[in-house]
Amino acid sequence: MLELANKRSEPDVAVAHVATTVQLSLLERLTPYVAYAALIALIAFFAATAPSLFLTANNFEVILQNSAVQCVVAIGMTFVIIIGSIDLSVGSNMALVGMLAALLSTLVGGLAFFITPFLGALIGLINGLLFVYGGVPSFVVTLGMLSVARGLTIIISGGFPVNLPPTGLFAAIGNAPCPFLIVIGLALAASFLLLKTAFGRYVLAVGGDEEKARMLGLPVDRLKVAVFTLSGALAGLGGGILAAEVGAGTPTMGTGFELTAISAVVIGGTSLTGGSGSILGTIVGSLVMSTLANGMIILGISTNVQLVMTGAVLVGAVMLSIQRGKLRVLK
Amino acid sequence: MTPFLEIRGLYKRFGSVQALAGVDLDIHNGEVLGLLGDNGAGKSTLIKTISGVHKPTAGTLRCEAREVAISSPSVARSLGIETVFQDLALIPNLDAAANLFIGRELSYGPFKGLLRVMRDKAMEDDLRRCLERLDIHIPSLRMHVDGFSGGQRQAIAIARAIRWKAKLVILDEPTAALSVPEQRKVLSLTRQLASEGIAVIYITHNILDVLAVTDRIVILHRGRKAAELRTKDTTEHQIVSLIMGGARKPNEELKG
Repeated sequence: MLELANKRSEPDVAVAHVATTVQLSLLERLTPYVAYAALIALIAFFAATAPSLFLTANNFEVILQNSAVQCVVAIGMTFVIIIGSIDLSVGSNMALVGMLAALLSTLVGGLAFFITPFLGALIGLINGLLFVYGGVPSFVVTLGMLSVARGLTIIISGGFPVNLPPTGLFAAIGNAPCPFLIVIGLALAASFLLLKTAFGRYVLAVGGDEEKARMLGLPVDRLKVAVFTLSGALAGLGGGILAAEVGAGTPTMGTGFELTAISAVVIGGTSLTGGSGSILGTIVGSLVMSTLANGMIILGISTNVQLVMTGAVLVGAVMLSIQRGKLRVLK
Repeated sequence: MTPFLEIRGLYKRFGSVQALAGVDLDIHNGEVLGLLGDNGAGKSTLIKTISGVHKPTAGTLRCEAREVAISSPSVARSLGIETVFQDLALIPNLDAAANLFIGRELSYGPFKGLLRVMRDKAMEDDLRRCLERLDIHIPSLRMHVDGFSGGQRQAIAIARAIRWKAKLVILDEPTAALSVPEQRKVLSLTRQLASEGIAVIYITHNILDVLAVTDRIVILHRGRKAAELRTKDTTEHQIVSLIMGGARKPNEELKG
């Protein structure tokens, strides 16, 4: 009967628990707006320091153009981070798929573009299967894939760029407003997927509490494979668009892209601990990253400093937004 | 009256551990059955067998006079057996309506699978009717359930069980970790389920709850039924001694 007494003392514990979660969800409610505030602050700052160069229609077009590929990749990454995983292979995926598309275009021309999301999806599918059924943590699987895909890119290209046809579909896709329109279309579709379909709800559920999602009979394993496949597909598509913009598949293309994509997602208010996030936030987060890069170029700051800034911004954003209550231990 | 569920000679063995050793039990519509027993008495194993989580080693289950094999939780649900587990199985970062329908979302068209489009408005209306019927109050329809109190979460979990036209609701320690007014609310909800003709299995360590809410009490001891009593014919003291020393009663030792 000691147990009886214990049970009676438990309400206090429950009350304490409720208090912490409410506190967290207040912070949670604020994080999505950090991206908007940061974007406005950055625009105001660069507009004040370099108005003649920064505040031009042409420059804004450059910013949008530069953020397009980043948006495409970061949209896929958003789903991955919402389920509480990570995909470090997107940059290498882009390079491998961009290179394969460039090689293929020598045979079939512009049609090669259409195969890019499928090639990327295949890479994502392999990630997902190894993660779910191989039982390897996603960051290890995708870190391995980062290396594998980059290596394959260099092997199949011999280390040299492969030019795309200067006219036709690739030329059309590489120029404004095409990348921009693709982003708008994808963002709408991805938002719909996240908010209105069972898929999106289960993605949130798995990110919120995977064990309970399993107990409730949700298809957790299939869902995780699907999310990695989606991320791969969008990385592949991003690789195709980037190759089209550059006019060639290059072996070093997309290097470090995983970092900017993850930064865009996290700045956009998606929690690295999983369970919450939005596509619009990711788009804004992506604009923050590309505005920062653009402004620094305009101010004549070297690209190496930009690397330093990107890393610092990522760590800073995670420091501000991570829900520590959900992490039992930090490793 | 035919019982909703008839359990006969139920055995469950985990390796060398005999968790259930021949349990016979009838569960009637409109009745709250209290299931008691010390830790390891077999309560959990018994309800997990009824709710399709475990497969019995031997024994028969008859649901509404038909012999059934409850081989999975979805089979249990299709028979009208809904379980509210102790940790409630609510998804913390979803709102009440999303939790009410999780895994069984209302959707447009005949589509199945992950890409079906959800009918959020219809689900919210349904939740509102459900809350009204059970007189449950929650802070907001939009709030994630991790912002709810323990009692509100418990109420949503119970609402989810009966939303799906449950004929048997299994409540596993529903008042543990609740404040006193919230415990009362859960007890009155339990009585309401029974008054609507639903069979309820109520598992608890709390003798006062048992006396307040149940019609009949079954006490398990080491995987066997140590006693079966009518609640109104029993006392707190009698229940406690049966839980503590169930198997020491000589006539029970001979059984099974």
